[in-house]
Amino acid sequence: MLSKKIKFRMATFFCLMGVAIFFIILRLFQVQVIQYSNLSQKASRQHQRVVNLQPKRGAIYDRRMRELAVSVSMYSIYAEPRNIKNPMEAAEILSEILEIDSKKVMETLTSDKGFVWLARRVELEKSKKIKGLDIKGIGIIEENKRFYPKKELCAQTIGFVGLDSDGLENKGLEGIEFYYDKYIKGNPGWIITEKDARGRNITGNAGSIIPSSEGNSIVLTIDEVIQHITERELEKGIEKYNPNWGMAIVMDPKTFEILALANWPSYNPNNFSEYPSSFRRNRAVTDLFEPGSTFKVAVASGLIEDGIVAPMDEIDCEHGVYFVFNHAVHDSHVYDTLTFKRAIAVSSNIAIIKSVQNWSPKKLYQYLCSFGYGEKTGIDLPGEVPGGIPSPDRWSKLSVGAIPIGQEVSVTGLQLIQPVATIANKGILMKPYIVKSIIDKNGVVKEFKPKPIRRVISEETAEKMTDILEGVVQNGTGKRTYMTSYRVAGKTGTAKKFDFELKKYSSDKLLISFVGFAPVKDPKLCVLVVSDEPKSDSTAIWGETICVPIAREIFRESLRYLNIPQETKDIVLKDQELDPDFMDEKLANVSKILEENKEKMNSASQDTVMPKLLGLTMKEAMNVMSAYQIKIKFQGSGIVVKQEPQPGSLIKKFQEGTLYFGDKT
Amino acid sequence: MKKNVFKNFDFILLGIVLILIAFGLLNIYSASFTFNTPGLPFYLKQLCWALAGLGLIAAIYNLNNEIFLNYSYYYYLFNIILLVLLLVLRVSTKGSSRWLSLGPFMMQPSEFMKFAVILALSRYLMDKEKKLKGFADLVIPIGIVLVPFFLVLKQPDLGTALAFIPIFFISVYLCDLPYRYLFYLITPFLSLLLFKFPALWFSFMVLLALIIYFNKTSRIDAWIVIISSILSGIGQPLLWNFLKDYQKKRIMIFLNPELDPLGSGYSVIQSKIAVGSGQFFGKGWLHGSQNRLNFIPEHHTDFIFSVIGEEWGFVGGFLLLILFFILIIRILDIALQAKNKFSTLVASGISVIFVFHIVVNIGMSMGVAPVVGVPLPFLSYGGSYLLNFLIMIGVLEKIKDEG
Repeated sequence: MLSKKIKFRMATFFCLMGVAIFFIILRLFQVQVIQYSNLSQKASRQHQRVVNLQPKRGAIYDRRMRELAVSVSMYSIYAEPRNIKNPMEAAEILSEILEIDSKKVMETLTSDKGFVWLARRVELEKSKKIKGLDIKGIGIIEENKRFYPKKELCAQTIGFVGLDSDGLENKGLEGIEFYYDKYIKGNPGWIITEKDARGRNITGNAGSIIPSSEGNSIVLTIDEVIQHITERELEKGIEKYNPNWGMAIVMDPKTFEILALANWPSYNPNNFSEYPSSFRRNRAVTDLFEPGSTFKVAVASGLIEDGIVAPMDEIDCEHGVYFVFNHAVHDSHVYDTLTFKRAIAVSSNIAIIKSVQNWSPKKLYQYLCSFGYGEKTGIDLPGEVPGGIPSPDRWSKLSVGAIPIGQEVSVTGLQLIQPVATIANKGILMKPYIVKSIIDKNGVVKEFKPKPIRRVISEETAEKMTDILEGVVQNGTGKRTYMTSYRVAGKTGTAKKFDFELKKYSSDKLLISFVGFAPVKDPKLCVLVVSDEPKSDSTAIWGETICVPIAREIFRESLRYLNIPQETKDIVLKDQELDPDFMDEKLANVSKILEENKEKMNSASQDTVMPKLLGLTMKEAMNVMSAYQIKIKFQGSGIVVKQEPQPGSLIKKFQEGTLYFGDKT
Repeated sequence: MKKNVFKNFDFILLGIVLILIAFGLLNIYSASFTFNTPGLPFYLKQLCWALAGLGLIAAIYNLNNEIFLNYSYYYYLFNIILLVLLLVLRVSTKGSSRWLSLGPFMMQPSEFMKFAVILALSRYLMDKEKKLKGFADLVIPIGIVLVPFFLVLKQPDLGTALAFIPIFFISVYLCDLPYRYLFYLITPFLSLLLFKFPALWFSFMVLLALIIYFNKTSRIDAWIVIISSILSGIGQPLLWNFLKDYQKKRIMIFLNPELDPLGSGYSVIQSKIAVGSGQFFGKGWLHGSQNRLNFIPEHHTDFIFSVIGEEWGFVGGFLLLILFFILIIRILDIALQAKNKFSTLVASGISVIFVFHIVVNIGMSMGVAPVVGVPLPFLSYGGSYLLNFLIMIGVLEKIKDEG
């Protein structure tokens, strides 16, 4: 038997071997469990060559399934050189069809690769011909290309696609294409070829082509027709003033669905790279501005809801000048006493500031937040910004004279339309949205439903506000939205832009806006129109002269398209009466002209000479004629083509005349 | 009679061996099914060798008890002659140096030499009535190992040659060689390695002197140790300068294969990638891409573990090592139960051979051991080594039967 000493040595010897095996297990663990990802990557990089196949991207439809973005099938020809029996013959035939040099084709067909592209995205005709030839080793794969059939229409909302990390044109870069990319993009397919240690490509096992799968399609809440109307009217209305930009939103106030979202200038997503990036901004959600008087809608709603003021309460408007901590606040016109309703109609700053002074900053702040200001609306569009309303502890002493009239706050267009839509929706704020559903071949994948957020004001207050806002349209700054066919309620805004160079509010850089809804009895549409820094050399530009007519046309055309019954026969276009009383008191320049002309008229006793108006636009003509005490009718649209009385003829006070408008030709 | 025959038979040992061989066949199939080889595919050839080996186990089991003890030296000498013959033949034919052609078969004598060294060493150390006291007692054991060592190294087959070294150390260790002598045996190598760092080398030499001084060491042995250590230390730079550039490079790459990723370092890097890419559960049998695409040369023989690692993952590798570990426990159990010292030494030597092959082979596949050609027992493809290992299993069964 073994001695104790030897037994001990046997034991140590055994331990040593145990340790050796244990060490190997540890190393195995390190290599396979800890370092695996690195090594696996190396392995696949070594042996796989992946040719990516582009999936068919889902389409984007409007709410009535009209195509806004589609993927067009294209055909790509590939070759598996090692499966081609007679490359010479094949090269000759293929070069003829594909119109490629036969030497080049021959080169490709005889390369030692397992897979090569012969031609990408060829016409259907050519691919059919090649398919007909049925050459072994030559195959056709369907690829896709993104196409936007409606070009500029809704471009900022839809967005566009660019190259993804695999080099396929399948990555949404803006708009819905970006926001819903993971639904639309589908799954790419691959052709996997393997390399062996000597670098030869191997076709691998059968089924090395993994086909791509089609992406889901998106159905927007956008209505193509309303979108078209909105874009057309927006462009028509603002183009001539050459603003920095213009924007219009049309929303269904009952659901907060976005029916149209227009930006001017626009771009064509089919060749987006040719446009400056500023053209691609969806300004309704990405741009902040100080709104001016359109902001008063939320303030006034709060005041009424809290019982601080009633529509018929009389307010002393201080003869046009009111001091907030030694800072003079002006109204554009001198008023003695106005009812609150009338004060909103003529957009008196003093009346609303004085009302807020009877309230508390905290309450105002609460209502503004409750209406959705200062936070993202959560709409399903990329790049939305929250904007900002200063909380009461950050107010300066002047804030009470600024915030209620839409200064010192920054809002997005979408936020600005929310309070008005809330009023139209009987006081309930909802979450705005732009995608109705996500669908695939088999049906609906995901559906988005209207989502109420909170009741902001009572139904009663909403009714009172509706009445006030209708007053704005009937007999106030918004009267140019007045139509006989549909009753409109709304509010205008003219904000002086803050000039960061001069560090003060600019007097000639303006942001003008209108927000309103119609029909008043049963609101179907809510419209916001904003224009940034419109330029005009002749006369002043105010919200009501640019944005209001645009909104009116959007309302009229869209409501008609939606088959909403008209109240009375629509005669606005043909015969809009312009009562001098309705003329906007805020038109400072016009007032000046008036003054001058009054003098002129005085000097020329009772009669004066009819000016030449031919070639002027409607707005220009209106501005000129406002200096004359003559009742004038407008007919048609465009520029003045004919006028009565004739230029140069004597006109008498209160004489009637007509201007006929038409196309430039 | 039959009952009696299998009374002491270690079925666990044989069972593990059979499992390993079967698992080996699976992996050899996976490693080589893409090959285009004439004749029988590798896994079928391996099956033939395995069946032959099992026959040998049966034969050995029925042999006379004393036959190994009596014929140890003859077996050793026979194998030495084969190795010499191989070298002579190579000189004359300038052909392959590892293989001996036996009609349709190719035989690799160096594989059988492993067991022959165990037998001869055990036989010599068992004979020794006296204990191992000094270098004088180690001259013959060293000789028994060094003769085949150099013969195999000359082939050149470094891996197989190196396998003899641990056999020697364990044999003398188990024969109660004083610990200091075990240390003395490796001092020249330590000196060689440390000479590059003068401070370290100097303190090492001082330590050596102290050990010699405070331990009973004969004067001659002391001088032998000191002089050989100094010589190997000083000789190291001379030896290095004496080497040609390509030889230096070969040594550098041997120590760090990553220096030559496309040459000899290639297999290690590729093998490591293959094993690592197997991850926890492996890619599945026949699904190892690195294996299938033949990234690793010799992956049906020496690099079979790269296939196992890639296709069976950590789970497979871990279970395999556990199986090997049980195998070694069984062998050591046999060593402890053996009826005489010869048998204990033989069984222990066999266990060392197993561990050496397992650790070096798997370690090599994972880049922690130098690339030397040693097979993974029962799993690599190869006839000679498989026969040799099965012979060793037969001998172990015999020892168990005796004990």
